[in-house]
Amino acid sequence: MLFPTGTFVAFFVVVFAVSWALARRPSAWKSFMVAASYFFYAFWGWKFALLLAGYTLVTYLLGRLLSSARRGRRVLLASAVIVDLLPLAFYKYYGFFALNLSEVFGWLKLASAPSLMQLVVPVGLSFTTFRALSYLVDLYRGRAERASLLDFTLFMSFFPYLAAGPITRTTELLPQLKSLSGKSLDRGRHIDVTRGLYLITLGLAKKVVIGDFLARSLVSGVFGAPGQYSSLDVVLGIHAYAVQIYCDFSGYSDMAIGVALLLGLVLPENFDRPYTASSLRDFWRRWHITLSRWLRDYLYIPMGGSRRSRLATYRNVVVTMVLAGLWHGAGWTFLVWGLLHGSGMAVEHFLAARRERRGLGPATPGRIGLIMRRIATLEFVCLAWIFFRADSLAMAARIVARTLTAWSVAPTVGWLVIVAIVAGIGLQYVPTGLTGRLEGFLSRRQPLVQGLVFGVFLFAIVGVLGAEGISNFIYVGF
Amino acid sequence: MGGGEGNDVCGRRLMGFWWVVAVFATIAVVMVLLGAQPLNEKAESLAPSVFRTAALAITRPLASASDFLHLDWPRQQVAYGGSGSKTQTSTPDTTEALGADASTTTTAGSSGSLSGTTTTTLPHRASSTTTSTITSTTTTTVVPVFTKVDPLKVLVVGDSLVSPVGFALMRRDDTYPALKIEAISKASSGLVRPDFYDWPKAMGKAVADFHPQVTVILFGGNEKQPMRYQDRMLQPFSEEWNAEYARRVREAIEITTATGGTVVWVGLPIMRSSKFSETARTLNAFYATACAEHLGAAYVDGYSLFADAGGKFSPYLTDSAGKNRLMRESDGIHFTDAGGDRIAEAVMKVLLGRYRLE
Repeated sequence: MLFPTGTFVAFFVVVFAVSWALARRPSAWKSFMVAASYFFYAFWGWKFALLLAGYTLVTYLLGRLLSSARRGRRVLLASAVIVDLLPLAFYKYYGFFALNLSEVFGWLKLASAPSLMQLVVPVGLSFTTFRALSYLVDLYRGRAERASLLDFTLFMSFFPYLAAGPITRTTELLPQLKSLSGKSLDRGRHIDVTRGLYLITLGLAKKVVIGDFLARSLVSGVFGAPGQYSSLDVVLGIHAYAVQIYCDFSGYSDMAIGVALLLGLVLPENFDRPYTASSLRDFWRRWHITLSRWLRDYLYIPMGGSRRSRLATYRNVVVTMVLAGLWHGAGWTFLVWGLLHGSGMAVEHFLAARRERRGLGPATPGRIGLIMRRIATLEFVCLAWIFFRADSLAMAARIVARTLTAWSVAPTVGWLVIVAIVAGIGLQYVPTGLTGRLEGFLSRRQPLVQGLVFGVFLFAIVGVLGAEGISNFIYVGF
Repeated sequence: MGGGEGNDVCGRRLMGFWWVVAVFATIAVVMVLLGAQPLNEKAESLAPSVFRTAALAITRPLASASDFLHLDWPRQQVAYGGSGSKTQTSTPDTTEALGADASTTTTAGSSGSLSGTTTTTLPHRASSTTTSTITSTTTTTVVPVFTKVDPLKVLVVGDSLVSPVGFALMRRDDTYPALKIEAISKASSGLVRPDFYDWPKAMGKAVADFHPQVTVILFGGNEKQPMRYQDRMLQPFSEEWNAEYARRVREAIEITTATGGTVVWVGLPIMRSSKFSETARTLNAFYATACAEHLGAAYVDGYSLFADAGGKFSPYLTDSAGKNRLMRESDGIHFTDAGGDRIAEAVMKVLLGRYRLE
C-alpha cells in the first residue's frame, strides 16, 4: 500500500479517526497503531508481516538479554547484530552472491554452483534492519532504555516510515511513545494539521509533478538506450535523474513525516536542500540525513572514525561509503557509487588535513569560489548517480562514453524537461524561512479556507497530473 | 471530544478535533466535486453488482453538478490535450515515448531501398524463418535492403512489458545502424480499456507519422478485466468478451499494417504466478491465432522463450553468450534489461530473416 493511492487514503481516514477516539488510552492507542501498521504492511504480502513479527520478537528478546547481561556483553552484541543481519543478507544479497559465484564456477569449469534463486525482498527490510540494529547498539551503549514489547513492536512497524524511512532511532521515537499518557495525548489532540497537510502536498507535488515527469520524459530513455540521444541530452538526462531521485525520495520522506505528524508523532527530517552542498561531506549532511547519521554513529565512529591515523580515516570513510552503496542494492554499480563517494570524501579529508598541517584554518571560499564548489559537488554527485541508476557497469560506461562522443549544439529534449530540471535544483535555493512563513500564513486561515487550498492542490496533483497512475517510489525498492 | 479552534504555538495554529474534521471534510468535498467525472466513469466501468449501483447512485448526480459547473474543465484540458473531449485524435502527452533520436528526425514515408528493380515490399513473402520460439511462415520474392541513410523503421508498442524490449532494440544501433526504432509504451494499458488509453488511435497516429515497415506489439499484462462493449460490461474470457477481444487484436494488426507494414507480435512470457501464467497462455492464443490469419504477421512465442528446460518459470536464464542472467524483475512479471535483450534477439531473428540490414 503506497501513500498516493485511494486505498491508503481510505486506510488513513479510518486510522486517523480511531487514533483520535483512543487518544485518552495510550495502551489501546499503541495496540491499535501496531495492528494498523501490520495491516498496512500485509498489503505487500502476509508472509512479510509474519517475518516482521518474528524479526521484531527475536530482536526484542536479544535486547532483553543484552540489557540484563553483566558479562560478555560485547560478544552478545556482536552475536545479536549478526542474527539481525541474517534476513537482510539472505533476501537481499543471496541472488547477487549466487550469480557471481556461478560465473566464477563457470570460469573454473566446476560443475556445482549455488542454485540461482530470485528472492522477493520484503519491503523496507533494509530500513527495518537499521532500526533494529540502532536499538541493540543504543541498549549496549546505555543510550536507550529497554522498551516494553508493545512500544518496541510499534517502533519497528510504525507504518509511516515502515517502507522507506526516515530511519528513525529508538532515541527519537521511544521517548515519544513512552511519554504518551492520557494527559499528553489529550494535549496532542491539538495537532499541527497544516504542517502535516503541507508536507503531504509538497511531497506529492515533488513526486508527481517533477520526479515522475522527468522519469517518463527523459531519464528512462537515457538510461535505457543512451545511443539514441546526443551528448547534451545524455548530460541533461543524468541531471534529470539527480532531480528525479531527490523529488522521489524527499517527497516520500515529506509524506511520511506529514502522515506521522497527523498522528501526533514527530519524525526526523531526512533532507536539507542537498544540491546546494559545497562539498561531498556537506552533501551527506543534507542528503538522506537519517542514513548518514546512522552510518556515522553505528559504523564510521565504531571503526575508529577520524580519531586514528590519517590513512585509517581515509579507509574508514571509503569502507563506510562502500557499505552504504551495498546497502542500497546488491550490485557492482552500487558498490562503485559508494566507492566514488567514499574516495571523494577521502580526498576532501586529505585536503583539509593538509591545510591543517600548514597551519591554515578551514577554507572559506569567496562568493565565486562557493559557486564553483557547489557546481563541482553537484557534478560529482551526478557522475556518481550514473552508476546508481544504470542497470550494469557496462551500461554505465556506455552512458559516460555517450556524454563525450555525440555532441550537438542544442538539446532535443522538450523545454518543459529543462524547466523541471532547473526548478528541481533551483528551488533548493529558496530560503527555508520563506516556506515557513507560507506555512504559518496558511495555518492561521480558517479550516474551510485551508481545506479549499489543500483540496484544490491535492486534486491538481493526484487527479489531474497524476491521473494515469503514480509510479512506485524508488527507495521502497531498497 | 476535544476542542475546536486550536492553540497558537510559535505563530502557528494547532487544531482541535472539530477544526481538523472541518479541514478534512472540506478537502474531501473539493476533491470529490473536482473529480466527479472520473469517479463516475470508474463506477460505470464496474461489473454489475450492488456496489456498482450504489456507486452510480452517488457519482451520477455529482458528475452532473460537476458538468454544470464546468469543474472538470482543468482535468479535461490536461487529459485530452486541450480539446476538452475524448474524441481528440492525438496521443496523450503522458505516454512514455522511449528514446528520441538525437541525430535524425523522423521522416514519414521513406521506405527501404531494395536490391533490384522489381520490388514486392509488403507483405514480405519469403523464406520461412523458424526457431524454437518463433513461428513465421511468409514468402518474399526480393529481400529488401536497408541502410543507415534509409533505415528499416520499427515501431514498438505495448504496455509496460514492452519498455525493456524497445530499449533493447534501440541498443542494437551499434550492430545494426540500418535500424530505426520508435517505441511507445503505456503502463497499465491494453486493448480492453480504450477509455484509459486509446491504443487504436495511438497506433494509428504513430503509423501515420512514422510509417514503420514493422510494428512489434506486446500487450496482455493488464487485459484480464471487464470490457465495455455497447454499453455493457463483458466479463473476462466470457464468450462475448473473447469474440470482442479477438476482434480488437485483429484490429490492432490491421491498423499497424495499414500503410503496408507488417507485424511481429510478441506473446506474453510465463509468469511466476501460475494463475497469471494461465491467463498469459489464454491471451497468447488470441495473438497467435490473429497472426496466423494475417498474411505476413509473425508471432514470437514469448511464453516458452522465458521458460526453463522443464517448461517452468525461471527468473534466471542463460543468455546468448552462455551466461546466467537475471531476466525478470522481482515481481515475476516484468523484464530486466537482459529479459528485454532476449526478446529483442528473437525479434531480430524475424527481421533478419526478412530484411537485409547494412
